[in-house]
Amino acid sequence: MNDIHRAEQAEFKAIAEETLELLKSLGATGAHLSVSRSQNDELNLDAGKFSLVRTTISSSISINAFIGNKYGNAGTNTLDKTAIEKAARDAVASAELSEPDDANAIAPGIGEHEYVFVEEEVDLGRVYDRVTEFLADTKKEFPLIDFVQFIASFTSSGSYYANSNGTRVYTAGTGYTGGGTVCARDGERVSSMSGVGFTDRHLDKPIIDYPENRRTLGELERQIETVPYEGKTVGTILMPAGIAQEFIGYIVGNCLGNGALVAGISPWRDKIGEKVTDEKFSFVFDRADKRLKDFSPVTNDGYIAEKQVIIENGILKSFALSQYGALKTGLPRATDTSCYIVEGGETPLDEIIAGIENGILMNRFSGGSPTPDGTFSGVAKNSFRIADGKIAEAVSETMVSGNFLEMFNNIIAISRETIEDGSNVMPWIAVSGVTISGK
Amino acid sequence: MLENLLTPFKSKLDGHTELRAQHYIAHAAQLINGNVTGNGSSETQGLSARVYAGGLWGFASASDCDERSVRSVIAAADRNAKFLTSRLGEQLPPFGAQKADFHRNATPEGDTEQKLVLDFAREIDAYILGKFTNLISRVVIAGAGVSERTLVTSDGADFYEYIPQTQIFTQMSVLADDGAVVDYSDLLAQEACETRFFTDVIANPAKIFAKIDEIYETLMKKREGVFARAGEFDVILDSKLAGILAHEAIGHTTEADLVLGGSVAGPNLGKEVASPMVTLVDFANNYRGEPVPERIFIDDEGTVAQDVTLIENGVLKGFMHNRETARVFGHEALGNARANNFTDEPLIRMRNTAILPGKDKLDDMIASVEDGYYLSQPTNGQADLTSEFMFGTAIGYEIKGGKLGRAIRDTTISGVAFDLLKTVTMLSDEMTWGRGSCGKKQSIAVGMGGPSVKCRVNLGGR
Repeated sequence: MNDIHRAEQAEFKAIAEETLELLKSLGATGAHLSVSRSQNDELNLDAGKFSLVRTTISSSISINAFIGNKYGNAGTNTLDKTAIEKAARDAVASAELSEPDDANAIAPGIGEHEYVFVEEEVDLGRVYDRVTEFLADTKKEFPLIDFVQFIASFTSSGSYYANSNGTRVYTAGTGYTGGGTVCARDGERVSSMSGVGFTDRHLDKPIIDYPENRRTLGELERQIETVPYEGKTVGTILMPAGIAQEFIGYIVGNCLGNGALVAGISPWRDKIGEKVTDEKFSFVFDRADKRLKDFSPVTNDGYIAEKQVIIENGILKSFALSQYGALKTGLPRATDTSCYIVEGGETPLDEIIAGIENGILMNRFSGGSPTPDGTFSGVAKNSFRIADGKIAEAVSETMVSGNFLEMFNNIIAISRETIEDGSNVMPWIAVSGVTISGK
Repeated sequence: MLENLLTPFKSKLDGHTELRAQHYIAHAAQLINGNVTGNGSSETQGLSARVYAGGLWGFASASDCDERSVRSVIAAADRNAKFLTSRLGEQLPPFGAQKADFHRNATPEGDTEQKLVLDFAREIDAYILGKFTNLISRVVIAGAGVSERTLVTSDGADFYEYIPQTQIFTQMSVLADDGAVVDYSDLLAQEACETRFFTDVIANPAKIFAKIDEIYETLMKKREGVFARAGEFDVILDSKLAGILAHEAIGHTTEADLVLGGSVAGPNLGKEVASPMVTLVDFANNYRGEPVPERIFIDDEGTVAQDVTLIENGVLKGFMHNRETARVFGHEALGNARANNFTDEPLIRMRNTAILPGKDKLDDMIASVEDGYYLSQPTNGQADLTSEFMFGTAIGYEIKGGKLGRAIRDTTISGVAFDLLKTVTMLSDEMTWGRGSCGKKQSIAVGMGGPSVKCRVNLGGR
């Protein structure tokens, strides 16, 4: 740990101890809180040109107070004593207003821990050089690409979690992220927008080499010419890793998470141990997976995270509940709810495509929020028709609709290849039974 | 707290500098099936500076609001601008002087107690629980707060506003006969104008309870609803949807930063892009003398806000600009540079984008459709450089032989805006305003409005 983080840890610890004492004196029988600070240095491009450098220094404290099992929260973004004292009083006052709820509880103490990942000095010059290199690489390999906007940033952050059961966890580190919107243009003809980006603790390789960037840029150049989808059919959707993750996210939100289960509207609320998807599909949450960048092993509610199997060979093994959700529903708490891991399947991607007679490669889904029972509809953006085992022309004005719960029971194949983007591991997934319609 | 905080620095700002401070207080309560799942307050403050040097920007923000912090963020913003000029050299000369304006848009100060917010959320929940017995879940969210912001610029602009904010929302779910969970949600109150503190909004609970009854009745119709058929249809978009059509389908394509990025609107300036009955305006702060939902008087570059006519009688007339793109295009900046938080730099944003009403009656419009849909409640939406757009709808109705039929459940509409606008054949004589949140880099509140629209769109369905 460098001197800056050591000093910050001492500062945050002092704030935490003082605040916990204050909360106790105000009548709180328990509490947990987090104190954080970050600095973000960001380079912005607009319409392909550098336009802005932005530095934001942010801090915050979030205080959760309990009186018995009554709960209240307050927060502020300044760490001066007066502001923190006011927030502490507000949190206790809110707890007094609430009613008792057995689900309001504090995680057991796990002792003192510190996790300091990469510690690099901010080096805007390095970020600038990488972005300049990215522009040049793109121009050389994909000359029709225009950058609508691109933002690359370096962030240094530290946070301290403490609870009245003795947990003290300091987490700090630095990292790089970037993302932006690109299109392909030929004269007045323009493609749909799409996204490129990266996330890394280091920035030690060209940005164009991060997962999916080359494929996205190359395919965009083929999307200047599009053909409206004709008619209506029930066909196959091939989902790249990003789209597969988006739809698995809908499953988590609608079937597995606190919101759906506490409200009692999850379609899977009674399905533990039952088959809920095709047996080819398994997924776990595991922030400690070696293929990911470093993540804090401590969950937001103060537990040491452990790998959590959610679906195994199509059988529902667990929900994705926090401590509150678990106590409220009487179901087990998930030991991790971060970082999606879906292992690759048996079939090479080329073989999956070769086996699709009629469908689309859906690179982006622009749709309304799915209904609680999984019904969705939206536009397949940046997408291609697949016909007779080959990726054919780019399509426009193409709607897809179906039910994502049925979709995951109609998995044709899961690709052997996976995308490891630093935060998740995800293959390509082909599903059948989706309505594809155009004009 | 912030009024006059920055004014002393106005005369000391070098070159082109914008200095902004913001302060928010928020109270929120959330109940799911009567369980208090959210109960808290927050206070956020901070200031930022943006400096323009050689055609390049430097920006910095910090969370302290004192003299030392003012000097610190100005110095950091200056350093950031110089970083770019050191790499790229001078790109453009400074802006010319801009008319300085002074504006105050403030209510008397006020606050809301957490107790009031939580108690009113409970009251709504109890009303729903007591009256509607076939629900399988209910969610109530109540929020109240105040937003305070001040801006000074080296051009002499000096702005201060203090605005109360109130938001009350409910979602109800019911089990349909086919076993599907069907839900419907809407705002019970959402106000952000000069006189609408939480206490004022809930002073007339009967109005809020009537809205709850309306939401429940719509849910019951949706419960019996069918799925839309997929394909292209004649539709009537209710006036509540016209705003999101104006915003997503057309508005984004005419933001000058996206025009520079390749939007199809670029080559169409001065050309016919819509039916001659379509006129579309981004309003600054008033429509026909009445306040619009998101009132902008001076934008975050210090520019006095004026209305922008985007489409007039079907012809694309203009783009929305910040000072920089206005200079590139040789147009006038009219106050579209907006930032959300103090940590955000101003971007080109819509304010209150609306299609102007026509002369038709909604009943006549419905009667004119042989086989199509009447769509009445928007959810979310997205836009594209190509003007291909989508937005979700939470409820609609079949139209058969000019008459409303069965309800339809959630679906999605899409189309290519510049094609769709040419299919507009009727506009109602009503004007409905609403508020929404636009997520272009920073989430920001926008107003949206319009009449009911008859046009032809692509529907997702079965």
